[in-house]
Amino acid sequence: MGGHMKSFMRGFAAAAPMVPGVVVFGLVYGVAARAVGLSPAQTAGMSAIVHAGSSQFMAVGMWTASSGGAIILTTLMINLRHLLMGASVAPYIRNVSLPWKMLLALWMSDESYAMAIAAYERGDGDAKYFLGANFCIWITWWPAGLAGAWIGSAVPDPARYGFNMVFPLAFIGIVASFFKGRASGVAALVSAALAVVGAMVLPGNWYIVAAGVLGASLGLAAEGRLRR
Amino acid sequence: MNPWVVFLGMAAVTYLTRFAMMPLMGRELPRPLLAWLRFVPVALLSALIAPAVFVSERQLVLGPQVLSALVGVLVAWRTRSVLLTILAGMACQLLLTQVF
Repeated sequence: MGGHMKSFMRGFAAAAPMVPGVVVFGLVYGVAARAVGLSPAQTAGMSAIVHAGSSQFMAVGMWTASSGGAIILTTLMINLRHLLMGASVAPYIRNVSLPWKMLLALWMSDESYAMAIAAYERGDGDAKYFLGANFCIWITWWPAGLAGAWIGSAVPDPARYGFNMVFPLAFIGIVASFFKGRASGVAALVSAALAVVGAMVLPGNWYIVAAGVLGASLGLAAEGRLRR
Repeated sequence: MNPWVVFLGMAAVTYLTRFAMMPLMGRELPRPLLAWLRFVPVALLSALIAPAVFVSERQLVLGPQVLSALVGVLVAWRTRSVLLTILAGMACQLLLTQVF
């Protein structure tokens, strides 16, 4: 058992350098969530059970204007990228029991996945290491959101201090981290233009999903052309 | 809808995406689907940002937030840092709305 604990702690320590980034991101999320009227408990609760930063920001951005169904569907779309992550670790956890796989999926984040897959590729990873890295990010993420919500509560008129811009600006930064070449630019521009038109002429918030699907498809098409 | 119901729904679909591929024995998704999935986050997030910057109550509005967002795009492109993007964009927004 000592070896197992050691492996967990090694994974935890490997993810630790990501903690400052997670804390800052969590604080910003908390402030933004408070600004759209979520209570501190709801703000932290969403972090604890959803544990997916980009989609939580998205939910906050859609909160006042959208149906729950639209928010959940958009969450599914944004997190489809986890399929890629799950598929890439699958060969390494072939011999791990089903309950363990279910546990690993629970807190898998972009950050801890990156650390775990790197360890597996070095021949240094195992399920406990993976779990340790996941847990490190989770135990940092939701308390940071709670702290952000408290800070947000202390600011009387968020828009006056430019806080209404925190959400789109945070997203601009996140998009940049997902960027892979010029085709990503095509996807972003097409999707942005469609969404602006959609927001003006279409009812509800489903235009976000429509613009996302069309933008991603044209990005893929552009990638084929740019390569040739 | 009760916020907690929305959170549970978000958690359920997120968990599904995380777990779905794990039991696979090293088999892969079809290549075109993999290629398409790589573009989904960029497209979807752009569809969220643009209306927040350009549209207010179904009208195209070219206010100070457009310039702040452009500053954000420049900083994000150059630094790839979420924090610097937020700080630069908010500084621009404050400057435009409080000083001028």
